[in-house]
Amino acid sequence: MKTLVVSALLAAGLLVTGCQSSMSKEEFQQRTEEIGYNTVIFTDYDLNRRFKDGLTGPDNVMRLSTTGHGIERTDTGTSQVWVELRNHTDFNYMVEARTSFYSQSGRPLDARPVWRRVSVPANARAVYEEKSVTTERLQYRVEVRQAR
Amino acid sequence: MKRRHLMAGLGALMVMGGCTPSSQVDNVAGQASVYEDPSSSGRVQGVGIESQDVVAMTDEMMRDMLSNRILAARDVPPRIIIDNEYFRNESSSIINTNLLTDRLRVELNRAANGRMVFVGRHFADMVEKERELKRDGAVDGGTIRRTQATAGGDYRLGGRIASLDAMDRNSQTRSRYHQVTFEMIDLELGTIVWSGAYEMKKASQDNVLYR
Repeated sequence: MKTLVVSALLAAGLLVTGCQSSMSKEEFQQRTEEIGYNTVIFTDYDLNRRFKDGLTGPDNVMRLSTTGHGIERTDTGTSQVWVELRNHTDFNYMVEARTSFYSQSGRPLDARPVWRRVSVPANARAVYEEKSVTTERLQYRVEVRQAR
Repeated sequence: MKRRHLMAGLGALMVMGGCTPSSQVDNVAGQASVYEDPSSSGRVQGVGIESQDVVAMTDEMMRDMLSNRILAARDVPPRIIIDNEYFRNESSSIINTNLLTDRLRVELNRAANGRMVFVGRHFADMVEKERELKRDGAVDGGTIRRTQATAGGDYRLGGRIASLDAMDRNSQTRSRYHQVTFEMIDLELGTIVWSGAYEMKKASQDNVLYR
């Protein structure tokens, strides 16, 4: 009887462990890492993500990636952020991107960020640009997700 | 015995009568209305101009105007008129063009922070009435100042919404291409000092009604 109970408990324990999230250490790190300024983040993890997919599966999804990004001043002193996106797939992608601007001390500044659509053709590149409204020196964070 | 059967039948009928609905009230929890983000696609989507398009295009135009030297970097801030007087909807989409011009003016005014001055021409009759009352002596002169006339504009917004429709008869999929142009006109010379265009193409099978 005792053996039976112990076996049942062990089986239950195994089941519970199996039900828990199989998030890898890498994925957890990616989801919770500190995001610095002047960065581009894929908030839609289907576009660019490190993950655990069984023993033989890939541990990195990279449908889209950034090939470069930066910030420069316009004629009127406002800032303009640019991001070049590269589509690694054979399918056209419609993505949305938005930019949050911050002061040098990290205070969120500028007008409310708005999602803007960018079409990235299959196996090609596209550039997303966004201008600030203030003339202060700014830092930025760009977020990219799939358009719905 | 017969009486007993009769009573039992009657009882059963009464129970059944109690079970059948006595009215047509659909007494189930409906779907509660929810707030949605106006800058993202919502649950109801069609091929027309929607809130996320209004937000995206006005935001893009506002930021672009503020990076234009003629409009946003003058020593004396230019006087600008933004209303829908010269903003035409020639598309097959139903849209109140005030949605575009009002949002553009409000956001631009807030962001410009003195780099541009906005003339409220759509409130001209309101201003004229008050000026008349002041000049007639019906009310005092207020506390700001007296001016010879109301402000004239340096630049005024003009624009147009145009569209191109297509429909696949087999799948009933319809698509609509929109081209929205915004232009700032010099009110003395007639030249166009700034232009912006917003393009989008949408396809949908659902029949959404815009009002």
